[in-house]
Amino acid sequence: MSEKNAPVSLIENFDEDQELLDNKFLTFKVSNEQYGIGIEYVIEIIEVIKITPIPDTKDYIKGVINLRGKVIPVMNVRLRFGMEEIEYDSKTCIIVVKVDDLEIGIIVDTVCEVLDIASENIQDSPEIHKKEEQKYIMGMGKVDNEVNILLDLSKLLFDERININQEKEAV
Amino acid sequence: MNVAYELDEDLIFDFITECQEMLDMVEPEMLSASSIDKNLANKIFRPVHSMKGVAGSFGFDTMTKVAHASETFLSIFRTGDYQSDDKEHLDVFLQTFDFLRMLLEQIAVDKNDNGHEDESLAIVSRYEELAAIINGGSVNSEKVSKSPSIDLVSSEVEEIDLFAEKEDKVEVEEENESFIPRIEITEEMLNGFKVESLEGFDAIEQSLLSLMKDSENMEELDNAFRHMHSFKGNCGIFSLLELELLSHRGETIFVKIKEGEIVGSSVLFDLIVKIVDIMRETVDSLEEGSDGKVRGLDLYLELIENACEDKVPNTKSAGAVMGKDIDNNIINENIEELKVENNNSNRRGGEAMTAQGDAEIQQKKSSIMVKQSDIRVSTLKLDQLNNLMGELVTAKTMLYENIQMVYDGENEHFDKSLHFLSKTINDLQDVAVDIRMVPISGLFNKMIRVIHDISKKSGKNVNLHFSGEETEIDKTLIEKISDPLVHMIRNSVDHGIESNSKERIDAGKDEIGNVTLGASQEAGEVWIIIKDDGRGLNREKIIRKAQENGLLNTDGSEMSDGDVFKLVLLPGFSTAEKVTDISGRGVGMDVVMSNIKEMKGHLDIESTEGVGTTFTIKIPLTLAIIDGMLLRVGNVKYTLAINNIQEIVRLDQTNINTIFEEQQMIQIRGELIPVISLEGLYHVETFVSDDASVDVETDINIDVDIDTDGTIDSNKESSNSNIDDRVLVVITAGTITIALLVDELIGQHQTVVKPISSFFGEMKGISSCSILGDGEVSLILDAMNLVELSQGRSSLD
Repeated sequence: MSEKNAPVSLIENFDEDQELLDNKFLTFKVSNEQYGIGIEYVIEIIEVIKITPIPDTKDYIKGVINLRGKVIPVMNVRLRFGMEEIEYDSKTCIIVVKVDDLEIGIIVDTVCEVLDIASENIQDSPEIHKKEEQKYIMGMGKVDNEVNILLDLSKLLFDERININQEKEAV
Repeated sequence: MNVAYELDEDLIFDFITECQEMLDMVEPEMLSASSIDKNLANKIFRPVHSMKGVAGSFGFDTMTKVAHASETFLSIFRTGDYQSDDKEHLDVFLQTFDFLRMLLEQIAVDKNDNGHEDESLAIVSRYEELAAIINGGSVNSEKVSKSPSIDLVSSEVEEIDLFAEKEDKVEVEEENESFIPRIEITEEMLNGFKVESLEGFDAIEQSLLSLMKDSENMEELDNAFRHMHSFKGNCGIFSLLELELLSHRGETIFVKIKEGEIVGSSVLFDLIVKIVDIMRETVDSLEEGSDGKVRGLDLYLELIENACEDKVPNTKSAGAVMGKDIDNNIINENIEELKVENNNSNRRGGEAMTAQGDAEIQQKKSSIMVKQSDIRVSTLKLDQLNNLMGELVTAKTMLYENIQMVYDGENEHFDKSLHFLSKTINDLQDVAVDIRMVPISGLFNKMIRVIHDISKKSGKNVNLHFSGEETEIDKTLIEKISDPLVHMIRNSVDHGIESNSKERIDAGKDEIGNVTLGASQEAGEVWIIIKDDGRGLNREKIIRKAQENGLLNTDGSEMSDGDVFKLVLLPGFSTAEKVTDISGRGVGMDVVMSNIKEMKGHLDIESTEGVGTTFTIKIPLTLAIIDGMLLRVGNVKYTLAINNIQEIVRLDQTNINTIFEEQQMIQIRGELIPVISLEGLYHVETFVSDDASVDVETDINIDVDIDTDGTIDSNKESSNSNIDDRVLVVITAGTITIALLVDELIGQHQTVVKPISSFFGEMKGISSCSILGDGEVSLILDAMNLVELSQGRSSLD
């Protein structure tokens, strides 16, 4: 994907929308860790439907789905984080998000709830085990003694070339 | 004003439409007003005045009379001295509007507005009465009494008089501008105005170009006048004072030519063309709230004045008039041209200076003059329509698939219904696509102007020919094609056509260069052809230049002519001896190429040295719905447009598979066609990697013996079948044919094309995707791209 499509970092949006959306995050679980993304990006949440694989893409890009006539790419968050892939079950969901006019679905283990996390409760991310994951982390949001890893959605979606071809060409 | 000629249907139609639009505009204003004040009066005045003017030029006396009375009455309020909430006043206007509407209806049928003397007199008298009451008994009789006896000549005179008045008023009003709030101009209105005006400019230009050939052509003169006048009226409504002034001067010229007061010389017409240009430029840059200032207004006004008096301005005075902020080029150009025109008679006799180096316009203009009642539709709505059509087709397919499961095909009525549904949807689809199609003639006509300018600039005489201009293409394509077309024509004239007519004659060609623009529909594509009979392309020169610029590493001997010619399309390439400001900088053609690529099209170049060059732009018709063949490769379903498919061959029936330099080949009826395994394409990096060919190799017997049938062993791991019933789909794109090896042919289906998310960037061999009947997504293969990939290089960028 060409650089010029790379969207504005989440953090900028974050500041603007602060008053409006009051730091609302949609939280979900992947491998027993709880994560959150800004609710302003979420279009809808669906259960896992048939995914058509697209050849020559990274392993965490599972392919595309047909959402009421729209063809939307889907990404498996587990694989994106370098974790082990598991079979989909009844709780597995696809969260369809829209960032900068691009609609993409992310596959997560389960979806939890929408949380209000005030900015004072958000701390910068500490050193976490996996280096990969760190890039996507915007901060750690604390609610009732539970820590939610707040993700930078654009980095999660767009960082690093997705298409094998382009990566190789870039080399 | 000479009304002896037949009143043309088209003109009347336009007139009626215009007036109705104006009435539609003023009526609500009047209806919703509780009182008549200065604002309202000004709002109403201009359209009414416009209507009066145009009606006058058509000779519709009754309309003119009544409109005149109306505007006279309005004048009372316009000064701001008087305001009224008397219902009687509002009523008389409404009555007037109704009357005018009725007259328009009669005009539509009878082409005249005769026979309503009583009523028109009544209205006019009413105005007089009311005016009298307002003025306290001192009737402004001079103005008012003129109306009943109005005849054509005096109305004309009066109009110009009024204009003189108005122009004085213009200055006054400008000062008062701050007190008169403008009409609320919505963006929609502004866009409408822009579109209309630009169309009007095109029409004026066409007429002018014709007039340059034949200055006595009354029809063209009238056409130009009408459009100029219309534009002027509109400018008034939008309070675009400078444009109004300029267009007024412009229309006055036409009037004077018609009346024989001044000579319609080419110089003059050319000047007006320039004026239309500046008006176009001004309109184009209009935005909400802008005042439409015309750049260099004073100069143009002076030039007009001088031209009307048949004077050639001397350099110094023109220079003195020129403001500091006016582009020197324009002025110099103008002056230059006026000088050139004067010198033209001294030019070399050999050059046929039919119109001082202007283009000879051989072919007739757009033949699409049949007027149907038409309506403007926003392209957004058309897009919506297209989307829904796509959904409908998908829904139909889904329905069919599901029906197959429960229906045994034994019910005749059901069959008929299904068939009927299918047919109706197909018809609807055709109409939906057709709606967006417009004939390319409009675009071609624009090129007349381009040739005209290029000829002038380059000093070469060129004839422009059209062919297939009735071919229709999607409206969105017209805009995209326009720039490439202009650029290529410039190239043809600038570099292709010989500048020395002797060179042409020696080569046995016409003295005057020929450029042909053609269009045709070919198998799902639209072809646009630009052909010139100029020098042609020199293969060697191109190869050399490419090597010089580092664009070519080999000696080029293995490249076909077509490929060599395509080298000129690469950025940074230019064999022009010197860079002219028209072309030759080496940046033009690659912009052309990217435009063409945007439309998913291709460019082919053919040329013979000394004879000429032909550029062909091939664009797929943008159909959102295609007939496709569904294929399976591994666990992925692909769709290939039926148009691209030559034939389908079962692997176990093929004659001889030969290996030629690691490239699988199939022989079909004597022709050797390379085989591309789609599975190979999408799982390994390159085609001819060892992996791919090894896989396939083990399956296919290498049998060079011509008589033997190629029996195929299949121990291929990836396909789980024991019998290799894989299929070869032979496709052709451009001039190259390849055979795609796929696992299974599922079947034919009509499918909606959906763009693939830009998330994926550019994908090898895939152009878009489609949604199948069962909701699954299938990837649509791009034949051209596949062919190019098979040649071992990626698409020519």
